[in-house]
Amino acid sequence: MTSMRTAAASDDDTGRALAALDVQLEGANAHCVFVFYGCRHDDARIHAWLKTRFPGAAVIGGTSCNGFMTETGVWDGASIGLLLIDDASGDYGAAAGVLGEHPANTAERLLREALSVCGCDGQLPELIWIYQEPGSEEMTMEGLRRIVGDRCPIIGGSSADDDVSGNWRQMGPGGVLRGGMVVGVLFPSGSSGYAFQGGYEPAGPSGIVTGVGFRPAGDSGIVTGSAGRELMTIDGQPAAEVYRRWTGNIIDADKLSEGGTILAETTMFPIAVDAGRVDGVTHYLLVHPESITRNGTLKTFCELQEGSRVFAMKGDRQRLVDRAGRVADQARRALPVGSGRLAGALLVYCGGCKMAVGDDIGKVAATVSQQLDGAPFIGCFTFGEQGHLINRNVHGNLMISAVALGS
Amino acid sequence: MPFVTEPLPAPIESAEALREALVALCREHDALRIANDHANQLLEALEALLNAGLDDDTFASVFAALHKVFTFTHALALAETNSGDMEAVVADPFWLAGSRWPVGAFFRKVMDGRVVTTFANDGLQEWQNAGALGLAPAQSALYAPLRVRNRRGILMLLRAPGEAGFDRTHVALARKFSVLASHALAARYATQSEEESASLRALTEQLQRSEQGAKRNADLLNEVVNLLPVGVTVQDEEGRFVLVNDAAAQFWQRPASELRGVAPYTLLPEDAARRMRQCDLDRMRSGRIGSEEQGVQVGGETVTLLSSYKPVRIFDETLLLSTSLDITERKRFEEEMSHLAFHDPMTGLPNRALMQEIVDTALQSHQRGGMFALAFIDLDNFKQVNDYYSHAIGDALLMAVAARISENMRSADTLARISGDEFLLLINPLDRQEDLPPLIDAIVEAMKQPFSIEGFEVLTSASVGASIYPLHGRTYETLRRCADSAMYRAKRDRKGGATYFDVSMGAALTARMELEQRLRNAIRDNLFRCAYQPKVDVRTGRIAGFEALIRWVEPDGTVHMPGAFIELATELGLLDEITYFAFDDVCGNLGRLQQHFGADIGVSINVGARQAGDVAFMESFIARVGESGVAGNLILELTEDALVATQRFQMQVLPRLREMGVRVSIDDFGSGYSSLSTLADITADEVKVDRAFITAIHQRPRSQGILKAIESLCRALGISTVAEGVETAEELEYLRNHTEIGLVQGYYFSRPEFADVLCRRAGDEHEPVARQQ
Repeated sequence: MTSMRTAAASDDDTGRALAALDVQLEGANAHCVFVFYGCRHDDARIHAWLKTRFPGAAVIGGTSCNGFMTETGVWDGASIGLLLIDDASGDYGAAAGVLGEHPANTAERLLREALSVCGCDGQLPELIWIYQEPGSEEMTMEGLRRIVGDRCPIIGGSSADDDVSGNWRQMGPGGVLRGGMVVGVLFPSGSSGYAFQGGYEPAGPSGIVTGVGFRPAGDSGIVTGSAGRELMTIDGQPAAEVYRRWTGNIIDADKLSEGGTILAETTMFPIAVDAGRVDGVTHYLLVHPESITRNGTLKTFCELQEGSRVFAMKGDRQRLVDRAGRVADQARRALPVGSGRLAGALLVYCGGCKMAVGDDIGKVAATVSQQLDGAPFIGCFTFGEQGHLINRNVHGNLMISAVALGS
Repeated sequence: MPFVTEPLPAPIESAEALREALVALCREHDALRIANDHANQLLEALEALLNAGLDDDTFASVFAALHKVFTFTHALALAETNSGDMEAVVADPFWLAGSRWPVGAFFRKVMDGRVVTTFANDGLQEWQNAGALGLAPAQSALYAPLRVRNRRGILMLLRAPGEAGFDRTHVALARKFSVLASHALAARYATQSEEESASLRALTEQLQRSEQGAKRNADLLNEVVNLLPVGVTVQDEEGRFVLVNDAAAQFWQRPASELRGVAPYTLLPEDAARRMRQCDLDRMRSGRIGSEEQGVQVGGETVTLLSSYKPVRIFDETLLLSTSLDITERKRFEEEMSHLAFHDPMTGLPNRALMQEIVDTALQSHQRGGMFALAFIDLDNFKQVNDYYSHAIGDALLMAVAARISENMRSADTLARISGDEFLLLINPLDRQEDLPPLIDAIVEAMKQPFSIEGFEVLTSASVGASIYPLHGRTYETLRRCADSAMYRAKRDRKGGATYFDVSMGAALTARMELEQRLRNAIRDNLFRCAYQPKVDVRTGRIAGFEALIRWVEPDGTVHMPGAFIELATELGLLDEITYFAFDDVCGNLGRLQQHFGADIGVSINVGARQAGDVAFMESFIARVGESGVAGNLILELTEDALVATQRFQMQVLPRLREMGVRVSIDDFGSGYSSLSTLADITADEVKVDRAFITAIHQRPRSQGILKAIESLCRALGISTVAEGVETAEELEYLRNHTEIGLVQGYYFSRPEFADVLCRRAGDEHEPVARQQ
């Protein structure tokens, strides 16, 4: 029997917030704990409290962009939120570590450790849940897929802070990390359902990626290669110029020549790659342009392949508000028939989308709660989202991922 | 069942809902397919289990059934032994039989009921001796518990290293197989004694004769039926459930065990119970198979079920066998798809297709009398809003416009968005003609009030044209055209106003429709030719080039000037084809012209402002130019407005034209809205000064000053200058003596002529036509 519950408290003082959680959670038990909190909190203290309060539980979480949401609504950046899974018949494990120079190898190692922790060495989990530092998601996904391929869903998000200043952290069973990753493996005794989607539409233009830059090679500058997060040219022209043209000049001309962050301007106008087709209709994996460099390169939160086609996309606020509820609903409906009632859900909602919907974020939480019939859920706001899209585990931007667990 | 009853009108602006619906339908389809496959596989396995001889080893019979369900390279049926380990009692390949396996925490977990798949087995205590058996720990394995009588066992299936491993679907299937196999074997052996008959068929007959047997059969049947993804019920003549599976019990929100033996009517309010009872009786007495969709309340939600029923006669009893499939999701998607097909996704208003249906309905209902009106509403300057603010603001404005019109129309009237910034309002009914203007005026006035969009105050207006049934037409298309025509009149006369269709517009509309038909025929029959007007070197008198000007030449020789058809062609989207005719004409005549006037002559061809910004057209045009080999002699003439407005032309098209050697000329310079400074931003080879500055220039000091300024700027930028519209010797004299303009063009030298005329006159090339007359 899987039962879930949430608890949340808002207070600038970490100690007082934890005390409030203590009161709410009197008598609660957990085999797995998801924890999300604002980046200003003393998370070493949160971790110590969790280890005392829920000894032996798998701990998975980290910082979330300006708060999180639960079935009770949206919680601000001074909040700490928990989702507890109490399931004596299931197995839950977690492992965490610094990604280092070889994120794929680290992810692979952490998955094996997480399985070992819960006595499930070599076993295929019902699902894998990850939370990590933004920047190496494709590599960590590659490492995990080496072991499980696409045979079980890999779902999660990239930890976020409040102002994209890099103050994001991850929390695993051993403590708090910077530059790290937490891998959770879930073998719930009940069933699970999941969904992964974006809320954007093609705007019309598209082009072929003709130049990509990837990690700097020491002091020698940018190395061009076949894949990377720096989009240098589209159809042979500077990528930033092409993007600006596609979007009707949403980027200032000054910024185009001088470079700078474009995260806010581009939230409603991401680009996307073809993620596959269902009955001839294309599905898109979104890529969020975050900044431009002085040489006209477009930096993104996702790796792009040279030779792939990128599409201009557009979104609107109402669609982003409605979308989370619909994704939650799809995850709930993906639970097998006869699997009992919904125990609860986990949601990953892009931090960029959160900024874009602004004050309507409360409606997002309300819509999700309504679609889940008031079941407990926690939703973190992230800077990168991972999920299972058309039979493949992928990393994307501006996406929404949901997992529902049956009782 | 079709998802959409009518063809989808194109285009659906948002495919998001379509994508979502497809994914959900695929998921549902996959789930049903998998469930169906599982059910079929399990039924086959069941048959294999039941057909095994009673003397066979129990595990072996289960093992035989495995092949009906799973694909694997190795399989072992392990059974507990008295010494605490497990033994492979049967295996494939056979030499694995007899192998002994230690029992650790993992096997205990499986024997306790967990179905597990692994991607590697090297960490398992149970596998410590497997290497000696030739098994590799890297093999994906699937483990399922099995219990036969008091013996616990494990089914272990392996796939070869490198093969696709078992996944979650296999786990789900193994879970069902495990339950089914254990239950089937329990049922088979529970009543079996050493002396009992040798086959399960005999057992089945025995069970049928005994209450206990019947119950066991029912249990077995229930297990199988419970695996089906559809609700299945069997009711007796009193309506009581004889059989009800879990999926059907869900609809009643009670466990299946509580429903057996219960008549469902007792769970319903009196009226509903009576209706259902009557319905069941009708079905039972009908003797026919039937199906229908029905809405039922489940937990406060309305669920749509697709129910099929069949009355069956068993012994002396009539039973009603029913199946119910929850198609709520499918219905919802159908409704969404239908809504998508017939509504504008941005505003939620009916689209063109639905509006036509609504008007058609109105036409039918007014066949015996009565009136209604159709108003065509077009936003003024919407393009400028999009260009000035952004497309997002433009979209928000359209939504706000839709809301405001809706607020100002009668509740019975219908508003549709039929394209871009065009709305159609059905005013139905219209009791008197004089009732129409106040209704339209209210909308026109409302549209003039500022819109507050994302912090901006956006000002716009709408031009409205209206037609009335039956005065102006008796079909949707006629009424729409009349309203459209009136709207164009409103736009032409006074933007932000309303015009009502009248007889004079009727005549104009008819004439326009005739012209449209003739123009389409002319394009089909290729009735277009170019006339060429020379550009003359003002110092030497030599012809330096020509401007190609399109003419429509009817078979009877009537020549139509561009003013008579270009606007309509643009509106009908036919301009591209006409431009290609012009280009083909230039290609066909260039050789002759070169022969008579020199190999270095340039020939100009006009490209419309909309075409210049249409990258797809320009790419196609560039491809034709590339194939033609005339690029070096070709000059594209565009108006300054086209060049200034279409950045895409500047950035995407112009560089490619230059690369090919095509030159670009700014036509009618000075007649547009751009300032001289914009010349600096425009990359052009030639500027043609508008005839308005050339006419009587020798008498107009202000024109002289402007011309000097243009000439000076062009000189500084390295752009050559052409004076258009030179008609008199005085004008030519002024240009020759007071400016450094190199080329002139105008009636003073020649009217535009067809190439053969020009070539015939080649000897008199400097003889002005006007003077010849």
